[in-house]
Amino acid sequence: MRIVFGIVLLLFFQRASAQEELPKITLSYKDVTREEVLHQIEDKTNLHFFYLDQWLGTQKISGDFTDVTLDRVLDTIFNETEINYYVLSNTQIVLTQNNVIYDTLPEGFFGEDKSPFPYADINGESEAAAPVFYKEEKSARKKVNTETVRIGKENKSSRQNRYTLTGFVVNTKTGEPIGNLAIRLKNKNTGVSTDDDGFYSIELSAGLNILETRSLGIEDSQKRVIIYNDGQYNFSLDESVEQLDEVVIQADAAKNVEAAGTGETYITSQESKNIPLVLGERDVLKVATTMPGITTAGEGSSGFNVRGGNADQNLFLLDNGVVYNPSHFFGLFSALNPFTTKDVNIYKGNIPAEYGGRLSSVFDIRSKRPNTEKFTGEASIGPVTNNIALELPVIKEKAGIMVGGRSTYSDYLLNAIDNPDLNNSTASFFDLVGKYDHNINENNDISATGYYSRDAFSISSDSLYHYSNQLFSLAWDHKFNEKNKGSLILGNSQYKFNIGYDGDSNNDFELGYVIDETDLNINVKYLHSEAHKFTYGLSSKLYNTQPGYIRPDGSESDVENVDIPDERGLESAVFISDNFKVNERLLVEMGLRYSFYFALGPTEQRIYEDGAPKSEGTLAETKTYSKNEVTQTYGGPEVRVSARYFLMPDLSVKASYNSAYQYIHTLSNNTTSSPIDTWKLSDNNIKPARGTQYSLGLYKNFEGNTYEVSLEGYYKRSQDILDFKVGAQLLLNETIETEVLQGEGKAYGVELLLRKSGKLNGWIGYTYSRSFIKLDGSNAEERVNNGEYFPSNYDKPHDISIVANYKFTRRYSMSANFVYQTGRPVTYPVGRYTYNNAEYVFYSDRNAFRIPDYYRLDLGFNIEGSHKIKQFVHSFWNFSVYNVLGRNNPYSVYFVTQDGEVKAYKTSIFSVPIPTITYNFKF
Amino acid sequence: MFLEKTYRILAWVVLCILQYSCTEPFPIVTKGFETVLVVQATLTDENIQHKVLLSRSYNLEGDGPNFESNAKVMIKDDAQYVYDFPETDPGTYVSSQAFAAQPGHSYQLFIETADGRSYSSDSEPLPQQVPIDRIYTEIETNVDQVVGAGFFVDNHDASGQSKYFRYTYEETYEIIAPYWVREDIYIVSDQFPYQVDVKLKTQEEHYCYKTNLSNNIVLANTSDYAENRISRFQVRFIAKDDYMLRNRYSILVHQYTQSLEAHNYLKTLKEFSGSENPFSENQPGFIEGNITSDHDTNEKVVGFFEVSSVSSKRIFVKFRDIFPTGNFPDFPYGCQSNAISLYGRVPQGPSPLIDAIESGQYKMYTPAPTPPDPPTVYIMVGRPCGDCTFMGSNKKPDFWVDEKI
Repeated sequence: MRIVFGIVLLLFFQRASAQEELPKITLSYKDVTREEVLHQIEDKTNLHFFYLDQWLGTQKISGDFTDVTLDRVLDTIFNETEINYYVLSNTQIVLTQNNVIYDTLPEGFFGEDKSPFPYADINGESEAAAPVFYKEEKSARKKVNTETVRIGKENKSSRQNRYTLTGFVVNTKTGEPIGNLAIRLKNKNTGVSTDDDGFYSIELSAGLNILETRSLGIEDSQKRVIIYNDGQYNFSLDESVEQLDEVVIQADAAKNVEAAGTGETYITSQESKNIPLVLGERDVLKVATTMPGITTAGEGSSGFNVRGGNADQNLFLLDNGVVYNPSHFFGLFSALNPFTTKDVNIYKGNIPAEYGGRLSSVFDIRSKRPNTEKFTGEASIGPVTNNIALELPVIKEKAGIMVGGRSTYSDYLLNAIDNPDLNNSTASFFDLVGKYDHNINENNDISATGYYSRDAFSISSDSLYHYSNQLFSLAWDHKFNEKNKGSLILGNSQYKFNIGYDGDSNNDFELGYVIDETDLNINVKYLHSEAHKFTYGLSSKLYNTQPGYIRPDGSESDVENVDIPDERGLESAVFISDNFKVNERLLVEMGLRYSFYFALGPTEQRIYEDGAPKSEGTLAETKTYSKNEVTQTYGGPEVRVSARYFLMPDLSVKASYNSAYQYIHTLSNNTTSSPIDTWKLSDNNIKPARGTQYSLGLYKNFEGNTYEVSLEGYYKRSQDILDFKVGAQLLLNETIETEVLQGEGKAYGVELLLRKSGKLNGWIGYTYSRSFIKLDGSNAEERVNNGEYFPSNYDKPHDISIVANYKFTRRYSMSANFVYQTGRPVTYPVGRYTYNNAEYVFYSDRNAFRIPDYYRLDLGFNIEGSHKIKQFVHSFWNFSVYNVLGRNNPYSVYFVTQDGEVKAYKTSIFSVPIPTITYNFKF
Repeated sequence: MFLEKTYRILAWVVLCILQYSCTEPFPIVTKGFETVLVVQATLTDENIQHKVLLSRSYNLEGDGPNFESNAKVMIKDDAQYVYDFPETDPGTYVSSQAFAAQPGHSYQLFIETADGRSYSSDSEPLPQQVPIDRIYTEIETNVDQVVGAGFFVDNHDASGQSKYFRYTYEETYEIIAPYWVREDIYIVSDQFPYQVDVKLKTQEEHYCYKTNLSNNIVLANTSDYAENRISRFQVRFIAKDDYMLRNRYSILVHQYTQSLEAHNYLKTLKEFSGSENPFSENQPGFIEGNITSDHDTNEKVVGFFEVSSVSSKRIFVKFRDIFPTGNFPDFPYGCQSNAISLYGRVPQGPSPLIDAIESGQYKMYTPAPTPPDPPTVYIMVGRPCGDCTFMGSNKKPDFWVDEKI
């Protein structure tokens, strides 16, 4: 079917030459096939026909024409067939099945009205008028085994939007009609059910529709129905209780090229299923790191670095609630339950105006909607964790609840293993997620999500670390009318950690940190017209942090109770954006966000002498503020503009300009992020960070979206990003500003991504990027590397990821994952010296050297359980080997003084191949 | 059966994470070398001739230190009184007069190196002195689950002004050669016919003493504590089976009262040179001290000129004071006795006994109790077993007090 697509392309450029004058012809034929008639015409004229012979069939026809125009002849020949013809030039005629070839581009062809994806639901409602263009995607059909059905013949004069499809449904085995079977339009909330005789009638919009059938005891099915006219279609269905996999819908296939925003990545939880796993855990965030521009500093680092940004510059949203630390066990596992997670949208280039508060990216993670039809569940048993997720209908077709829980049992295993090295280390975690969704009526929908994750670990026998995330969000979606739709979202998130120390001296303590934020968001979408679609609203969040406390543990302890005074801040923003379709080729998303921040009392504000480095000695005055008094205000406009221009129907160029403010910062003096990094609110001494980004990209899809290529470049600048003096004490430091440096960041890069779908599917990503920081100040201790730009801790110029999956059959598939990255910069000693009878190394320039390059190959093999009818559970086995090559990738190098001598060590997290087996089942 | 197998796999995998998140040593290779001046200077309130050590950093593979000679070193107090520090040994500069830092005064260090560069420190006041209340030892189990003796310090600061402390120690232990005898063997003739004889030892080889200086950074502070008191702070840990504890052991603990800046300097140095949690590595960097170049502010100088008041205390302990039960630590060398004959199988051939004596590796324990007289076979032991000077010094330190019996 590639021909059709090719023609559309041609058309675009040959519009001028279309609709040539046709010659007159004299022709007579009797009892011959249509194909033979075409041969006769070709003989008599210099015309040439393009078609597939199976379209023409073997039916014999007769006719007699004298000196008539060719189009009358062709009209007669193809009457009562599904064939349309198109005169491409005075020598070429193209035949098509069903489709009329339009010689002017129909409006909406390029699918601008299929919105840039975040608003897909809204824009889907403004259905395009008439013409139906459909590019069948081979690969997609194979993957989901969805048959494509064409109904009716396209009528060029028809401007009708909707057609009626009728038919009945029978049981393949028994031939009996199936009553009460739901036939639904996928991704729309409409559907019908069959009557007792299995008869149905459904209205469909012209063009592609995906119909799903659901009924108890009947295999769920899907049909891709392309409707050109009213018609009939009968279903014949198998008995089964088995569910099909989730399907990546066709509408998204061209999103890469169509959407207006730069730097958008979309990953479904399903995609993580067939990728080799570390320790048996499916993980969408791990998949994200195989995409260009998203990296971590190393295997044991909990943060993500997006386009050369620090790990604190990413906003993780789970159903609109903020997750401060989405990782377990130093980033080896993500804290998201893979069974309840539906997908994640990652914005690393153009961040839509409705999001704010972080400079580098937004990870918008959405949970699945609970099943409102029947009770389902999914569970897995892996080497480190077990996991279960259940979906329970509460009110049929209206409300459902989903709960998921995951926990480790490694502690149990650690205790069972007789190895003294392990006696002092423990690690355990769990996470729980629950979601309730209630579709009150067609205009109102309410959903609530609750989430809790907790980690405990200990590296030495006398201290125990805990950290936890907690969030709750409530969203009310309301449709005012066809053009206006709004959401009201309330949320609360909390992150805390504590360290318990139980030694033998008088210094046992418990130390902790808490950040808590309460959010309110109002988000309205207004479909003004075909050309303008507005999104506007406001968002506000109140922060409360407990920047640090320490309490004596036990009556013996002499540790003093210390509480660093709480901090409060209010961050608010108003935003508006217009998705403006300037013309067929140009789509502009213009967004403006105005954010402002108030640091609130009660607090004691320390004011330092102007221009002098902040220290105890330069403290000029201390002002006291009472509760909710505004102590400092920051704010400014944030511009979010992105545009897409079609150079060709499947080739687009996009550009964007973005700016943002970030009012909270992590305090960390580690080279990589760790769970005990604290978040600090901006105040009179610590300014918010600002960032700007320019992106430019080219996007092309080939062969009906089977191949997708994008090439994107960016350039970023940031100001007032936080760093620290050498050896800064960050925990329990009330005058943290005396340890802080605020510097500039600079990052640029080029990202190339090639994706393929089909039997062999996957992607190859390559990124060349650099990331630099400059810390300059008036005196030596405020300068790092003499105040010049130096590579950041996560500057990894070359980054290649290859993810490949090959499906042998429906049951067996194999996957491989290869990663290569330049080693990250480290601060390496430049000399040794003797001091107080011991040897030490000393360091000079920060990040002047690199650890060896990182590379890793993982392999996985997946077996789907048999697709037998009447099987209660659907099982899935995954065998993975992580780091097949056994590459000992250094994660860090460090130098210690032991018994007066310097020793160098390197640490790697996984230095040997790690095989795992995971068993999953669905019911 | 299946379950058991599964668990075995699981156990193996978990082992992998924790065990194979491995840390291994690697040879240090210089990647970029900078030579900087290293200054070790602590001025205390003891009335002594103070010492300043100057050296240069050396490359990562090389041996050091490289002493910095021919520099001019002086300390100036806030009354502009200058104390000169002439060089006595390469890199060692000792004050020409004994003096003590005085409360209420500040001191500043000045250095001019042979190449004409000059350096100066910040002016540092003498912190308030806090005496050590007590040093004591108790049985302790360390983080590696090793049982041993912990040596602890208590202090309290009535003034509440001093919160930062650094500790160093000098430990001395007694060495008793287990197979010491009064006599020594000596060679009368190393030519055939071989002849040896015994005589009284001319030097002390029974009781010796060995002194070690601390080489780690031990810091304590009371800034987080409700009371200005250090309680049961461990300065030293010695495993129960360490020979140092077998006989009499003495530790002299010095407590330096520090400024916050000096404390932070050493704390950072300690953090950077300590072992790490493999998951989170401190961002290392050059640690800025209080000594800077007068000409080039970007020039790095290692070291902190510390002015501190010192309190010292010594205790003596013996094994049974600490551990009422349990075995004494073993002597660190095997002491099997060897009967060595003056004559080999071929009498005219080399003499095993003469060879053994000449090697210096053996000490005589006793002549073999058999005729003929003079004996031709001697029971010999390894040198450390019969001569304590192998392990320590036979000069009893001045401070040493023998156990009263």
